[in-house]
Amino acid sequence: MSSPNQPSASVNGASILMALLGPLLVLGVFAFLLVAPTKRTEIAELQAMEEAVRTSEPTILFVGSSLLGRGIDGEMVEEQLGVPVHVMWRANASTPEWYAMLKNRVYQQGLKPDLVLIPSTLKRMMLTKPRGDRQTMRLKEQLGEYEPVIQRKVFGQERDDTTLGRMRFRRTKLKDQILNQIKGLSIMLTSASAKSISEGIDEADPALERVFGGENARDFDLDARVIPVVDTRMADDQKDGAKDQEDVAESDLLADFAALVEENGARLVFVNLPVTKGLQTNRVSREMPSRSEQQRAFRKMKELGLGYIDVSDLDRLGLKKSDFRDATHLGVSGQKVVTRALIDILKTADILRTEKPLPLPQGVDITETWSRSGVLQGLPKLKLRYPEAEQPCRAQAALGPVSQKTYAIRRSGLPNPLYIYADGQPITVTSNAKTIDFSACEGTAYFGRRGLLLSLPTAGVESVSLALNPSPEVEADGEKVVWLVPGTTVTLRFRGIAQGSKPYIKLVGTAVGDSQAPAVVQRDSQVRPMENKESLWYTQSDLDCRGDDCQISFSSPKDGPWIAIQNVDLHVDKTQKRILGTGFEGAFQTSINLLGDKDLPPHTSNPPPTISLKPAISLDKRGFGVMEIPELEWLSNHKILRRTHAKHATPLLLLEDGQPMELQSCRDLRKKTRPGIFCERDKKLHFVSSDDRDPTADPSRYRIALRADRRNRGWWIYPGDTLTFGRSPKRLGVFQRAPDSIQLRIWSFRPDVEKTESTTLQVRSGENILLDTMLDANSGDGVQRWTLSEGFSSEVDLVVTIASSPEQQGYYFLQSAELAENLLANDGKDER
Amino acid sequence: MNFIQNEFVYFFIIVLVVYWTLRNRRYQNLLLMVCSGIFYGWVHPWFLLLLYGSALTDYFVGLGMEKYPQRRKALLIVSLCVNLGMLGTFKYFDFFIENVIAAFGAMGMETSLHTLGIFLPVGISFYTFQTMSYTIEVYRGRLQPRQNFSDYIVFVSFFPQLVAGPVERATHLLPQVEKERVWNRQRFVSGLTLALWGGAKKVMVADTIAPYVDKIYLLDEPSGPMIWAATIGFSIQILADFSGYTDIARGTARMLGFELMENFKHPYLAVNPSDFWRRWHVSFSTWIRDYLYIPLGGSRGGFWGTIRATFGAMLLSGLWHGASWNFVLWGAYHAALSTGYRQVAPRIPKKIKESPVGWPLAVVIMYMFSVIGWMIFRETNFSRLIGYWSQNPFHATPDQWVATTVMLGMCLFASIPLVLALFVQRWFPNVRQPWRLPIQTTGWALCIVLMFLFVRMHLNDFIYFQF
Repeated sequence: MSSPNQPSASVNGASILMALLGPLLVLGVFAFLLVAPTKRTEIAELQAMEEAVRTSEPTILFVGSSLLGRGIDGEMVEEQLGVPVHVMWRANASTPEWYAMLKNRVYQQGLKPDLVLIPSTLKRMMLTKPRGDRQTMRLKEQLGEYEPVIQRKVFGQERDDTTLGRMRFRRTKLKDQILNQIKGLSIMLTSASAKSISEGIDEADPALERVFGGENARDFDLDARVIPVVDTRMADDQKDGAKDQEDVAESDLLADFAALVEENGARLVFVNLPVTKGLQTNRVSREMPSRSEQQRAFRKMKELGLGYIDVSDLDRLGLKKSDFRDATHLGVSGQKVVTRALIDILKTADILRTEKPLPLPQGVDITETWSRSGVLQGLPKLKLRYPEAEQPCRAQAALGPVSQKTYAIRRSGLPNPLYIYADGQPITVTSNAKTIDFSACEGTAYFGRRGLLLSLPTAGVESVSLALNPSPEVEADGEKVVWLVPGTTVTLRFRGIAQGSKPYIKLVGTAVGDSQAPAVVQRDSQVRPMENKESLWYTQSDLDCRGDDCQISFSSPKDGPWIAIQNVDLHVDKTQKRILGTGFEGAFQTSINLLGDKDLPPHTSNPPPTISLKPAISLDKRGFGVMEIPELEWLSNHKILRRTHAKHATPLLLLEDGQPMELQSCRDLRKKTRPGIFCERDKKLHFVSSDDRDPTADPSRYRIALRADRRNRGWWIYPGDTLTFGRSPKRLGVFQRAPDSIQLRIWSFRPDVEKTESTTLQVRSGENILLDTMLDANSGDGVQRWTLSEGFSSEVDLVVTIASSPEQQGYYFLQSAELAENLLANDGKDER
Repeated sequence: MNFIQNEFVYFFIIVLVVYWTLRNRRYQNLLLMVCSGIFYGWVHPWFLLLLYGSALTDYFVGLGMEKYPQRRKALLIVSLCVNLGMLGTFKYFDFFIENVIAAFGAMGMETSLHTLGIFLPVGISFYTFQTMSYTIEVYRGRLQPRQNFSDYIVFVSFFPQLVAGPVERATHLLPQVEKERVWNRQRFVSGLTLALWGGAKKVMVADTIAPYVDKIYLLDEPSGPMIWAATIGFSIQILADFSGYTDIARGTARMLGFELMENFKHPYLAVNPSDFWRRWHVSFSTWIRDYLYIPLGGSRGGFWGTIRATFGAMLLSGLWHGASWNFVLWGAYHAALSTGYRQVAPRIPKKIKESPVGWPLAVVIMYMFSVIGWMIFRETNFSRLIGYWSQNPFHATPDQWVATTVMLGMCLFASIPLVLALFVQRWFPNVRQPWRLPIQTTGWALCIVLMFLFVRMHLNDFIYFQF
């Protein structure tokens, strides 16, 4: 067939006729198969879907694809929110299919949920077209007789029931059927249990599901996950991307969803689900929209008043790769985490109360502008001196009062806010006087300690002037700062912040010079001084909002500081956007360790509780004595201790004839064996008797006890203990105002105690009680933080007491205790 | 432009009609020159710069060799440097840098080097080799340098074979470009048949089996039977994919009055490694043989000389396929296979060779070896590859056996057209009229129907586009 080069006899009429009839017959039969009208068949899956939603009569309805099915636990939502919830999903469902499901499976039955949530990825929400024939086929299964939205948006002007459309639809079905038959036939021929092709299919499908994790049925997901041998698809991907953008701009389904849901008296919220980190960073990922696509979608959602909840932040949710079933689908653990996060947001937003605003997309399309008003006074008129007659371009000028400032700016490496003009021409400022070639007339200047050194652009320049950069934003060498200079007000305006949200900013700047006149923050016609600590100035303040425009202003008085604002963060509800700089984590926090004070060392007074356990002694393979103590597993060599890097911090002690043996690591026990030592591992105590005899034959008595010395790479707190520690006034003076929080790294060691209600934590400053609370049982990373009340004094001891009730059997291991002052947090607390 | 796209079908019909309407060879060549530019620059017009850059260099090098015969060698070096430099930059630069970074990393040193993320222009390996064949032939005095630029550029950029071969020789294609083409109905019909058959192979065989192969290769830990079944699938996929492309290329070229080299001669019927390379990607393997293996000494240099030439040629041939170590390993594997066979062949008893089972046995054994090679070719991750080889090929869970069975079932299904084609190829030349034409047209219809039925909307590029 591939090389029919043989000469042939002449072609006669019959031959030509057959040559026409043959292909016509083939094409005709095929076309008939694909085009012939078929009886509408009821699809059992859809009937079941309708039945399920009818039965549950949901107040909250989730609609989506397998991402929803794997991503949200409907029962948990129902349990937590106390209203009927139904999760309606279909594998491989495309965006228009969600629409069709909602319209034809829910609203057509007269069901009216109050809230419709559509969890998926943002990218998929924005798509209009099914991503393949199979999706198209499944969409068509969902459609009713009249679907103007889908007709227009999905199939363009082309009618759904065109011959070509029907042919393509049926051809995909036919292809699926053929491949399914091959699958069933393969199993039928090789398996003893499958007697027919359909039995073969029934046997193959669940097995393939288990092997491929559900991927076998979804061509789209396969497309997304396949790393094809061919990787020259970039162009196509780019085209797809462009097409996707068009989709968003021209024909996405957001407005149609909004209209459909509104018509039926409900509210609609899109939920952005997480995908794995790999997919998030994948350049050609089909799950991650570009920034511009995202902005467009967000803008549109806001316009339409659609809700948007983002639970896709892996770091914030603490989602790991193991929480995913595959690249896009969450596993069981991931589903719990995401559902919990969603429930929290739904509860916080009180979403079922219609008068409450829906959570809207945040952060991405917020724009900010800086402006300045006022005039910087005191810029000197420069008088030039020409010290070298032979170098007519070399000049000097005294800078008067700004001399120190400009010198300090240069020294600090900050971009200079001042411009220099020579006869109206700007002059470049250099940071190194040695590089200036005064004979070259190169037009450079240097801010020196005593004034300005200039290599003028031309000889005989008459006037040189200083001017403030008209924009407060100044950038040099990749560093950008905003200058707040004396006598001026800098205003930061934001557009696009969602109405009803509570935006605030954190701002930090560096002052040049030593002016102590305070710069101020202006908001709602209130004026408040900015805080400062040495040369740093900072504030945390709410914004003044009108609609979705918000602003805040900062002023420096005429004799005030020159402040280079270097870091600004905007916080809107729970999201944060960096406006300027690289952040200021830790820059404004002062903290001290509370466990290291020699004047107030940690101490407890009670004797340790006794352990009545008397395990039998045996010998292990190496001849060491072994005591099995599964009853104390929760206390001994616990995984928490491993996590604290204090592996051998066990509180257990092995007594030999009442004498304590020395605790060693089991590695040392094996490698550096010597008499009288013990170690603990895997619910066992291993030991070497002090006379190195066989302990099973040894007349010595061995007993397990708790260490009386609670200190062992941390501090143990036993039931009935009161641990006291703290700080004498010597180091309490490091706090500028007062510590605002205490942070403990503490674990509870009693698996059957969830809430140790009578274990208390108290922090006192002299007689003032700054904190009096209960300790939670904790087996996570151990970190717990509490806010302290007012009343701190750096003149008296600060004492922390942890008291464990003897009845509650609460064992604790305290690894660190830290007292901290967060200047920005305090500032915000005052203001907000 | 991809052959399996509606755009190409429309494009080719227009070209064909205009081409045969023109009748004058010069105009036809001008048309081919323009159309080849459109075809190649369809997605990224800037790719044309590289294509024409390479072509112009060799055009002027050819002319230079004629004008300054004493500088032929220097000019040849210029041509090789430009072409191999281009290939090196666009295909191997990032690979080289990645390896340098990895080597430094292994020594515990950090480096500020970084890859450039250069996008590989489609078909660059094919056309650079083709233009190099021109300068080498001119250098060797077997070919006169061409003065007519349009004829020459049609040879370099002839669109049916531009992006994935066959790698034509100047001595074979250039004379056809310079010759008047006369319309021949039989030739046209045969070209159409070949092109449609190529399309059907690609769509029905390669693209149908590809998702199953990919699925298994994507699993974290496929069992032994699964991965071997998938590799058998891949052997079918790559044959159907590449030979499908070649058939479309040869078919469309034939419809335009050109005869391109045959690239595949039933490679899985090969009885030994040398035979395999005489049947697989023939245009490329003969290029390597003529311009690399023989200049390296071929089989004339004794035992070690032959080994050196074999490994040199095969390693480079492997690297030509892609900037990845698995391709180099694949080349080394085939070199080792050839060398091993040369040692074993004389020891095979004549009785076995001449017995009735000799031929099928040799075919089966060679196919098994080629499947091992395809596993190296398909899997780019070495540790995974070693994992595949170290696990028991017969151990799997019941579910995995089901997946293996389905994979093998798909392999059998996808092989049906290829096996049928073998018989048709033997039977059809003997068919006479009046049956010949009806069978042909019905075959076309079947191919169109099958293509419509099995075509994939996405991921339908040809595998060899990346090389």
